[in-house]
Amino acid sequence: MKTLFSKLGPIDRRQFVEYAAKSMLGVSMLPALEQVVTAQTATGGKAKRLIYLFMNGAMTHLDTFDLKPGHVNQGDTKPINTSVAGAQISQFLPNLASQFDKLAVIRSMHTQTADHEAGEYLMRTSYEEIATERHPSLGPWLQQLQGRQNKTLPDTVLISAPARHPGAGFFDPSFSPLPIGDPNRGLENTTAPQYLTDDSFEKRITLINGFDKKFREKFKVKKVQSYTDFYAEATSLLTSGELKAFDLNNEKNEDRDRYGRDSFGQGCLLARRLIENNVRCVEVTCGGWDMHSNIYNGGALPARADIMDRAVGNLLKDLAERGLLEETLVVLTTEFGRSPAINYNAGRDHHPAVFSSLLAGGGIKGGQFYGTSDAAGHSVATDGVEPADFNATIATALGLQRDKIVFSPTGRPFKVAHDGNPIAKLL
Amino acid sequence: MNRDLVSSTPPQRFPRILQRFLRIRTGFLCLMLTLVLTPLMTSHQAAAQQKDEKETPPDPFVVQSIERRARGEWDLLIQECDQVLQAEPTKGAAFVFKGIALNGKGDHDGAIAQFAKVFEQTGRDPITIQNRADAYTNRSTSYYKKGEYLKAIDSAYFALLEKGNHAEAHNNRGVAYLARRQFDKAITSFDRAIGANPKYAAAYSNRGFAYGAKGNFDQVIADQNKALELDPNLAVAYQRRAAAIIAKADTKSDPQKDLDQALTLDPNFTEALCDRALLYSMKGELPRAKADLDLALKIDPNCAKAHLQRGRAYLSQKNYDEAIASFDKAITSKNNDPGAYTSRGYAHQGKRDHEKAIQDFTKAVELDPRLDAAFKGRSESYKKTNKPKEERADLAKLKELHPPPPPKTAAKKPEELPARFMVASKGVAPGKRPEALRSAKEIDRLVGLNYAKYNVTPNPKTSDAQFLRRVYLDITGTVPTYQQTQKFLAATEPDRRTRLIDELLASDGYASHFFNYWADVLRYTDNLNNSVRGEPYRQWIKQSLAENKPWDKLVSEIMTAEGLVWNNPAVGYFQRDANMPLDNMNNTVRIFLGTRIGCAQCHDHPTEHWTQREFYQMAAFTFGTVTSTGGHDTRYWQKNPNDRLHEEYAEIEQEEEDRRQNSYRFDRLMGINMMIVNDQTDRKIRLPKDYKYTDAKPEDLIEPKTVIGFPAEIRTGETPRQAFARWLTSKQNPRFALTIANRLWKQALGTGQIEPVDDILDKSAPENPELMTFLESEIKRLDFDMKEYLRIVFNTEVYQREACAVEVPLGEPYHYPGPNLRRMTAEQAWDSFLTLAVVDPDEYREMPAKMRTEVVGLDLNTISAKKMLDAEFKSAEIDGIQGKRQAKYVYKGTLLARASELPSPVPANHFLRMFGQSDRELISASATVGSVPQVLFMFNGPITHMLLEKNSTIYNNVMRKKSTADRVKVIFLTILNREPDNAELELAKQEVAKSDLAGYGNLIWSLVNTREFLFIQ
Repeated sequence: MKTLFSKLGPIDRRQFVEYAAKSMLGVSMLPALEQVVTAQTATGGKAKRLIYLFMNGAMTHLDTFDLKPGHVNQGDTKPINTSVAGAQISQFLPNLASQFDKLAVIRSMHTQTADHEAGEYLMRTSYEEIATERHPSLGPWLQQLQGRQNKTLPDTVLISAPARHPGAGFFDPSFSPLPIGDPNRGLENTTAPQYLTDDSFEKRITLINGFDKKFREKFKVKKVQSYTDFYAEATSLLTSGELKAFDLNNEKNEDRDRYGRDSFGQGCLLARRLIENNVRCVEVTCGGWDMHSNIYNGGALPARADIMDRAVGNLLKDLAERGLLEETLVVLTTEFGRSPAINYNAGRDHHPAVFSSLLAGGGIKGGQFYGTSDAAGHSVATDGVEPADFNATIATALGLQRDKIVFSPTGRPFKVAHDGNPIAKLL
Repeated sequence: MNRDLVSSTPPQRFPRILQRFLRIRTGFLCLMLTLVLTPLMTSHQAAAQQKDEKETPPDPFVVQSIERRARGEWDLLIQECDQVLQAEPTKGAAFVFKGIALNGKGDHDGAIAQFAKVFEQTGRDPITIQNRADAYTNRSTSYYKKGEYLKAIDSAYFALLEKGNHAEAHNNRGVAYLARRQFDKAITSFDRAIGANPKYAAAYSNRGFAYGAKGNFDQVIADQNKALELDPNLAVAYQRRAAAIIAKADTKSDPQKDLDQALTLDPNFTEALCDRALLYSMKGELPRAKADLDLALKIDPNCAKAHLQRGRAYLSQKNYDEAIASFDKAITSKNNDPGAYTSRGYAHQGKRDHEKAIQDFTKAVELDPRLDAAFKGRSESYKKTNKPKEERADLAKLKELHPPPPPKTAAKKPEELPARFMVASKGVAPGKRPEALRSAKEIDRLVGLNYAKYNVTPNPKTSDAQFLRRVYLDITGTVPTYQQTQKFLAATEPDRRTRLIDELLASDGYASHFFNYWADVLRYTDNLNNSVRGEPYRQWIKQSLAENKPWDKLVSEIMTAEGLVWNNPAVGYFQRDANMPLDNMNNTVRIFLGTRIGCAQCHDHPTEHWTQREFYQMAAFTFGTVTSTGGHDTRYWQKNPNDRLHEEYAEIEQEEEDRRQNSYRFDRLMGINMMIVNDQTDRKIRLPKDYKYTDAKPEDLIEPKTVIGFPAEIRTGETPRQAFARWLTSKQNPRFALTIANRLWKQALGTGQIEPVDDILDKSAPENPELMTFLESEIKRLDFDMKEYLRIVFNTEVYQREACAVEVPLGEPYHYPGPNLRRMTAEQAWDSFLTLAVVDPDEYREMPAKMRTEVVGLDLNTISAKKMLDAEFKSAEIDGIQGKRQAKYVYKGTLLARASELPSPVPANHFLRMFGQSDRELISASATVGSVPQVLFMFNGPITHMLLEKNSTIYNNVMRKKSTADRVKVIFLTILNREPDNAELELAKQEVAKSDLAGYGNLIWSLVNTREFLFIQ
């Protein structure tokens, strides 16, 4: 598809897009398997896989990565030292502090919208949400630009994602991420009823093929054949060991405890297992950051920060120990920040003018802060980073061609990180 | 709790007076009215407890003040505070302690004034925050003592906003809740107080009191035990434990010991004296009882409880005058005690002064409308004064308060389920059949021309079984049932296919299936936007389809709709695109005219002729249409409802915390009632600021102008939108009839004459131009009667041929040797599964939208804020009502209902989404491609399991037959709607021979997993 495109002129290209739209019905995703693109830009490109952690509800920057000690806005959160001299982050993040040498923290993210849904969409797609187009999220972009990687497991898995996640956007539905609602339950519908033995499963498959023979002989068309391929894939997934990747029961109890028994902790553990099994992109959502009241005394902030710190801290540690961190990019972001001034209800409100995000692994230069907010934590002071720039940095680290234009079925041109500019200092 | 007491048998050794007492509502609350308003922590005391604040040494002033307070040395304390304030006029702690001292002296207003000075200090350092929290907490004591309980609750709430773990603030709030008889909230507050300070004896004791008020006496005793463990000198805990023992009529424990102990600790404890008096009188030791009451009244001549108790004692001795004198004093000491009025009523009754008795009973039931003793007394007095009507009313009320227990033998009445929304379907006209068949023939003639032209061999005619399955799926969205299959395959009439088509077009299944199609096209969501729920619109679409509303009429209603969604559900279309007028025009042209002008929204169209200016000219027709209105709108002929309702809202008596929480819901409900689609004549569209072409300047005003076909004429008195709607749906519009004719053709044949059906270009050529022209002329001739049009198409030979079995290369035109082979849509697959598994899959229907809209739809001109708030609370209950019906139809977490009855969109991991149902964000975003999770659903999903369970439809069908061959046939006829051939029958028989009954399960499982099941041939 990629090579075909480059040969087409603009008018033909449009026709081709229409054909592609038609062919959405019934074209197997299998042919794309072979196309693995190795194109790399000058910098970046070390990352092969992506773990994308989304702090849903808007993570407070003043209480996590961008503290303002001594300023009236700081509230109760105290800074602690990290493994990098002179760099401090929140007292609630001891695990991350001890691994700060792995982290690149951007303190100058900014966006326009203070609406959760609009902010999430922009962050995940680099585009503003419109009624006439659905933009793809990063995992499907990876598959689009580099071809499918894993033969049995899907390329992108979403753990605890909200229903409104943009998913594959306008791409072929076969690019759709696989949603996992509860990491503890893993991939659903994989357990056969107890009365069914392995032997009888095979027998049933034989029966299917026996009864379906006439139909398949009559309708030798792609859309039927591709279904037969999916049946083969599903059968081999069920019988292969790879299904175990989804099953957290294969982890030791102490390891599960280490990540935290909440859904984000278990989600991060599942993400590690999937990455180890060559899934290309795993996104884990951590809800509960929309704290408008009583954040310190009510205990919501320390509790949420602890959940994040344990899960992400252990994830980074495990990836590093397994030698996977060099080729796995770990991203932690959110839709916007929270107001520096503490409100009447002892909470913080929505604040898009500045917030923080984090990158680690995948060739990212760790141990540094990038960009600054002003003394009050209110606005960007230096090196502002927009969502598209952030995604451009991710795309570059993954070796994706940022200038590659992909047309949607409506014929509009789109790029993986819109017109964002990657942050060279971090790559 | 009263009833519990009445029903429990008092031990014999308690004299009858106890029974009498209990009957006259001597509840637990009457036994023990003492509450503990606790000593309060102050700033430095709390600070000293925090280890990380060690560097701050304790403030000597605070240390000394705490001692003064403990000794009740109020005047000294005030003096010292004043001295400190002279030296340090902003010292918050001094104001706090001065307020505490004034409270101690009973000068609560003076105390409140002191606390107000603390609130002027707005700093956020720990000491200032602590001072404010303490001041708010102590102010709640002031208000409590003044009897202003709501203010006491709010003041404690403000303290908690400062410091969420302020144990005393939680406790004070709980005590104030008790005064308002909000026992559950009180318990929660005491729980939190204990959570903040686990050694808080008074909070335990108070919590026990609250449980007692709810009738849980064991918990009273447990909590008092805990309180006494923490503080053995807490007199009130002994008194409460005794009261609980008395109330429980627990003969094993001795309440006397506890009361004695309470009185040893606090000899002036009037409550305990009263309780002991009660106890003595129960034991028959009347002189001692009298002595205790005398002592109580000596200590506090205004002790209402003692007066009341004394009065009741006189009453039991029929000494009515003395009794009345005591009750008078009780009422003077404590206003509005319904129990005292009731007792006095009985005393008057005893004197045969029924007028006065009725007055007292009436006052009592006004104060407590559930006070049975008062109703009983009043009914007796009514009887004595010959007022049978009033007497009957009171006896009826008593019955209502004490309904007789339902007879255990009677059959349990099935719980009534909420109503269902049912469509009223209308079929095609029998008289039009000949002309429909003529038109079908003409279509076949035109199709045949292209067979000849392109050398296409048409497919053979479908078998009856193939036709049956396909036409059911295409009209009703599901495979036929076993019974429907059998019936049709047994039919021999030559016109059986035509009859079946008519029958299905008249069924409710048509509306269900086509709703799924249009919901995908219209991006229907249950929340059309943040303020407007979609159910009225959704049900309007269903009903419009069911009654076969002509397409031009349906679209015209959508395009001209004004008002609120429950008054005119068709406004749902504009509400879906609220505040996106440009996108809305883009969608409108794409959906109804099959044309995409969206590119021109931002720049001239790259391949089509549309310019950006032309896009704005089109958008100008509907730009003035807005989806909400403000309070200033002229339709609000009185005062701006925003202002009026907010003013009224501020006056509603409610807690501050509730006021804040409810204000969002209140505003939202007001907002919902202002979501009125209307046209603003002065709202004009301008070109964007970055307009870059030479034919106009940026921000030029643009007038409406149609850029397809003939110009739309805006008549006098008409909004531009009305003119646009007339133009859009006109038979002269070159793409309106074309688009719907092409869409419905595709629904039947799988491929449109023009593809994609919603991207018609100037150069688009239909596969068969004459046929397309004929189809377009037919839908016009039929005045956009969609069922009649589909009837024609389903009656054609081309529709009734076998599906195409060869690959048509991408981009090659499709010449219709038969319909295209299609995978079932997500909805067809889901609905078919239900048909196999559920006995009556059509039984569940969504709740009628009006059940909700009748509650939330308000007249903003007249509604009061209180009524509006009540409506908001009531609307929250509606979900529960809906859930009640749903609960009956849920299998393993899955609601077993037709796809058209399920929420829109469904969650991403639902069967429907896995099989490609749209998330309803974009037009026609559904898909029919496969995936691994789909196959897993088919293998192991809950619905597949359900098929194999006892009492699934297919299970029942199979088990009714006896022979293996018959059973196999039933399975085939149910799942694939055809009989097995010999080879298949043989294979099936072998399987059953091997696995016996389980073999049938394996057959069913295998057949639903065939491609033949999932594809429509």
